[in-house]
Amino acid sequence: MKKAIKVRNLNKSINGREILKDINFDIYEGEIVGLIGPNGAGKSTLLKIMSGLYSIDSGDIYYYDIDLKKDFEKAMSMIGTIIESPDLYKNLSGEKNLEVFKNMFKGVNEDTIKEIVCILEMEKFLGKKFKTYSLGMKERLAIANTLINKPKILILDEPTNGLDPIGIKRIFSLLKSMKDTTIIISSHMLSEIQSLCNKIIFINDGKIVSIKHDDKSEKKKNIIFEVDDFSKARLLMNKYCINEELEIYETDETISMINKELINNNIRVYRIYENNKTLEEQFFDMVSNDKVN
Amino acid sequence: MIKLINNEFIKLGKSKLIFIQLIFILIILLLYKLDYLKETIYNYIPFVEITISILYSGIISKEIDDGTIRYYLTKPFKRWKIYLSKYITIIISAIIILVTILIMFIVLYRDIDFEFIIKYLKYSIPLLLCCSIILFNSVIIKNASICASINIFLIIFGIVISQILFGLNILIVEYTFLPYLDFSIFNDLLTIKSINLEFNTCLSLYKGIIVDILYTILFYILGNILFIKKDIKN
Repeated sequence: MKKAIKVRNLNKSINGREILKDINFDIYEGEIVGLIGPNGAGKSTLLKIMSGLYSIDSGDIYYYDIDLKKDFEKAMSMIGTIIESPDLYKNLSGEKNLEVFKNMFKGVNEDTIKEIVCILEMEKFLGKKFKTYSLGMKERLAIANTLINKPKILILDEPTNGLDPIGIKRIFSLLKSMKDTTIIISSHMLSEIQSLCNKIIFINDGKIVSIKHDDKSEKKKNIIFEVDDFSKARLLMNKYCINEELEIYETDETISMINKELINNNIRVYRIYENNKTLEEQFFDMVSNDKVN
Repeated sequence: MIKLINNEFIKLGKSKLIFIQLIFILIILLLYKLDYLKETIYNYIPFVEITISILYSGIISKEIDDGTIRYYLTKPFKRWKIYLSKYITIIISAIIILVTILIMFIVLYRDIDFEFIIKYLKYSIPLLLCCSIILFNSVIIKNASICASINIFLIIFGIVISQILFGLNILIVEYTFLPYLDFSIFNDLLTIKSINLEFNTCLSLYKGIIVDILYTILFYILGNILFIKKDIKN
């Protein structure tokens, strides 16, 4: 599977304060990744750096192996972003707003715009000035602007802020329908993130605390082994592990094989259990510094 | 680049520029009727500078304040291109108004010669500097109204402040842009001569042209660097 996003050793300070510390992660093509953490954790800063709004102090970001620093235009041509509130040009109509952003891409034709307008049900208000729009309408126009270049990667920072449940459902339904697009989304709507995302990045105090896969397939399990020597167990279990935590996504047979392997290598296994914690519970665990395993 | 410039005019609203041209045409016609016009063409240039300051002081600051800059800067264009497109937009707008004024004069006074036009162009050079300062201020000052006020203040009182500073023996001001934001003063040779005599300075049109070009480049480069490095928080 191709890596759509690679972040390596990313650091960022603002006004002398370290906001992001040594951030590293990969996102594969087609993944929908939730970025969650408490307020002030660094989520928005990370997404703003990835969107080109903030400079990088040190580290690298690659989109499909294109370096964001060295080839900004090529990298950003694949990206669609919504950062915080949907602030577009107030005195322009929706149509004019779309025209302004359409002009910034090559090869965007009228059919693409018509299709997006149709999907987002914007026909009725497209001719009106942006300043007359409700928040839901503004959000829809912002999404339309984001999708105008058929981006391979979407970067969304709190795209559902202030929306009513209908608006939230509309956005998440649209995101679910975008099969081939890689998405990284930051939101406090943890239940929606859990149903939408297949990977969750937990961030706290500028550092990545954990990265979890949330495979929706019923056949796979999220099994946790509590062991006495995590580092040793992790080295041993590299062939089974998908992410940094010792979480196994395999069948019952594999679980007993793993258990045997751990014991044979003098690693004590204290507990084996299925992780049924909701995202919200995991969030509170992370914030209170309790590790999941 | 052309698309970026087109975007700036879409954002401004082309009707605003047309409206401004009409205002200038009306004023010129009125003054023509009052027989108070031909030698005053150079006096229009500071008004063009003031008009451009009002129109464009928020060209960057207002976008940052409104949050629209977030959507603009996340598109596949390097920031220096966006900055350049904004500068070119301001220059084009200024040129449109200047040309409107010149055409009115040619229509009303059919004996306008080539030398007159060249002199008009020379006297318009401070506009380049003015546009550069407008853009620079828009990067560093958050409030568009404060931006416009500073620009207008400098245009109107630049030569007055310079004379005050000359009086305080701060003659280095002669090498700053302050005395050269409005070249109409060089149309009155007696005034310039008396300033130079009184304060032992060497103010001249050609010196002003060189100073203006140098400061245009300086403000442009500084503004560009600051814009490129700016973290957009809003």
